[in-house]
Amino acid sequence: MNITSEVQIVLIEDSDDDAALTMRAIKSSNLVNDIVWLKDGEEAINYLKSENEAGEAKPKLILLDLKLPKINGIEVLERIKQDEDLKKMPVVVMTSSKESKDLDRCYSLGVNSYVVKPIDFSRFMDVTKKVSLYWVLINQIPKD
Amino acid sequence: MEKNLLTILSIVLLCCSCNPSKTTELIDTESVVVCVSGMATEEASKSGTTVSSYFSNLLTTEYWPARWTCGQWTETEGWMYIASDAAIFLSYLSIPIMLLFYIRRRKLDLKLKAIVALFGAFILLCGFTHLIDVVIFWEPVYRLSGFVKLLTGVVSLGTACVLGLVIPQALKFKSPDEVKISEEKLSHLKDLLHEMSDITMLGSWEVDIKSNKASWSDMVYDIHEVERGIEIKVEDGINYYHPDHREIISKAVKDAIAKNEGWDLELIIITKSNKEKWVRAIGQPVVVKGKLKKLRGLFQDIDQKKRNELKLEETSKNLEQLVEDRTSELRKANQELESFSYSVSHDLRAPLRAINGFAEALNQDCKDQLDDQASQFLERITANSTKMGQLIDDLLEFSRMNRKETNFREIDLQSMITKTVKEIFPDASKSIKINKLPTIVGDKEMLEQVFTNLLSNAVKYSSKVAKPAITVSAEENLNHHILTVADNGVGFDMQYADKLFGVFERLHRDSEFEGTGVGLALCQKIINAHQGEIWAESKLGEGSSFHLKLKKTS
Repeated sequence: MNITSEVQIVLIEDSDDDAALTMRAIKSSNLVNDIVWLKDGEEAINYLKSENEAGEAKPKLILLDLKLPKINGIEVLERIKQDEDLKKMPVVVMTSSKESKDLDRCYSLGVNSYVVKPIDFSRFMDVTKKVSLYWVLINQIPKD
Repeated sequence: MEKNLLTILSIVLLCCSCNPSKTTELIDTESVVVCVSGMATEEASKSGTTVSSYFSNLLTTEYWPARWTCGQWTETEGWMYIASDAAIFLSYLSIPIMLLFYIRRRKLDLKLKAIVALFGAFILLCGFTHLIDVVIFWEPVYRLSGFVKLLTGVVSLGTACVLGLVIPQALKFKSPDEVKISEEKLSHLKDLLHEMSDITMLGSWEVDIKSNKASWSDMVYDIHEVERGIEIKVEDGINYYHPDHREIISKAVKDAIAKNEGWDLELIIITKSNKEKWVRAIGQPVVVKGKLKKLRGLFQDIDQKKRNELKLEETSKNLEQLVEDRTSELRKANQELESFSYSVSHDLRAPLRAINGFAEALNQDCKDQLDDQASQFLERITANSTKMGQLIDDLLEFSRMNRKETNFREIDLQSMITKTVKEIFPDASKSIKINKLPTIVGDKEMLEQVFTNLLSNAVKYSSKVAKPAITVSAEENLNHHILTVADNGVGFDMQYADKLFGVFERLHRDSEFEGTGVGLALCQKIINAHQGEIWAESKLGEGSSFHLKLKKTS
């Protein structure tokens, strides 16, 4: 069941494995199909900028890993939240750590949600599904 | 009146002069009669004698016979008399001469000189009376004799009076023995002072403002390594100071002269043999009747002491630097550790999640193609990766506690533990009994962790008994609270009690009770940070009690 063809989720994740598992979890709900997977911070920023300039519809959710090559996740978050055009996009940090330093930093930069990826796969599936469903289906973002 | 007095005096004197003849008087009444008649004649003939006529004719001899002719003197009697008087006179003459010599040679104050002179005059006059007594044997100068005796009487009385005044003072004078003892004492004190000066290397000095001359004690010369006794001027003294300190001492001297201020300084001098030496220079103005007369003070060699002090100062400074360096090294190491654990938490967990995830995916997607053994292997992969994830989490928590700074405040244990039980052990809450608990001082987050771990252990190890009973209780003594978490679970063998609190140490196999062996190590770390104690008591099969001893005030 394909609700829309628009890009709904942007996944910024450098690990093939994590990306594959995350996408498996999201897709397992059969509700969201349009996922763009970007492998590093630089690529992510460039993509979001160019999409915005091309006037494409904004994604409903950006899933952001913190440990990324080149530009790390925190910096990506900072750039998004400080960019007039991008700052309204919901960003959910999904990371392995619950270091309080990261939590503090992310929230002070205006992250919309912070989720620790469980190691246990069934719990991971559960969490990922819930997050994507909530942001894509339940949450409302401003038009424009 | 005056005349009568003189007459009486003359008679008395005459009688005294005639005294030796009294014995003869008894023998020869005729000559006595001659004398008496002579006297009577004289007295009758000069009944009109006045003071002025007495003195104008002082040496007259006409009214009296010579003593030889008065009475019956034998040669022996007369010459014994004359010789004795002459001897007395000579000795009485020599005494004042000696006194004169004494006065001239010995420095005496004026008052004492006058007393000695008076005493000399008294002796001399006494001598003259004896001389005149000799003369009278041939020339009867009784008038002169009378006058000299009068003079002697007056001077004697004067001397007696002065002596009366001086005696109380003289009593205070020390006897030669006492003087000797005092001198011995003085010399002993001098020796002591010398010894003290040698031991403390402390000398004294004095500067006369008028002459600008300085006088140094031997020790001051020795400190300067200058030959003792050499004449020193103020400038010479100042020039011995180190060029850097010369100004300081000059100013101190100037201030002392201008403002009557003393000084006490630790400075460096350069001795004659070119050695740098630390000294303590103390100076004080000496003011007499509002006028500055001298500068006086002490001078001490403090070289060794000062150098030790400076060395100590430097050592302690170095030590401080060392501590600072070490602290910054530690801080750096801590930072490294932090970034290490950050990496661990990210990088170790990601592959685990992948192993776990793909094993699960394999299980889901290809279940039909897997036989029982393959499925079992997959399960083991999943279980182990989950376990490893738990280990990493606990390890991270353990290292996080190492780095965490404590934040002490009051904690109501009753409500804290009640809440913990309700939130974390909802299923076991019926078997957990919470007695009355106190309010203590500690780090809330840390202590919450401790009770979570202890309760979690209690729940876990009593899960296999029919009726689990867990109690949280508190006791107190004067200075401490003792908190206990007790259960009726499997317990442990007390011989392994010391292993309980080691990291990754476990007393049970995973197949019996799951665990990572980090929980109690963490508890101990936290209790240590509270300067408390943690220990356990148990009996196999009867349960365990974990006790915490925490100070009442932190």
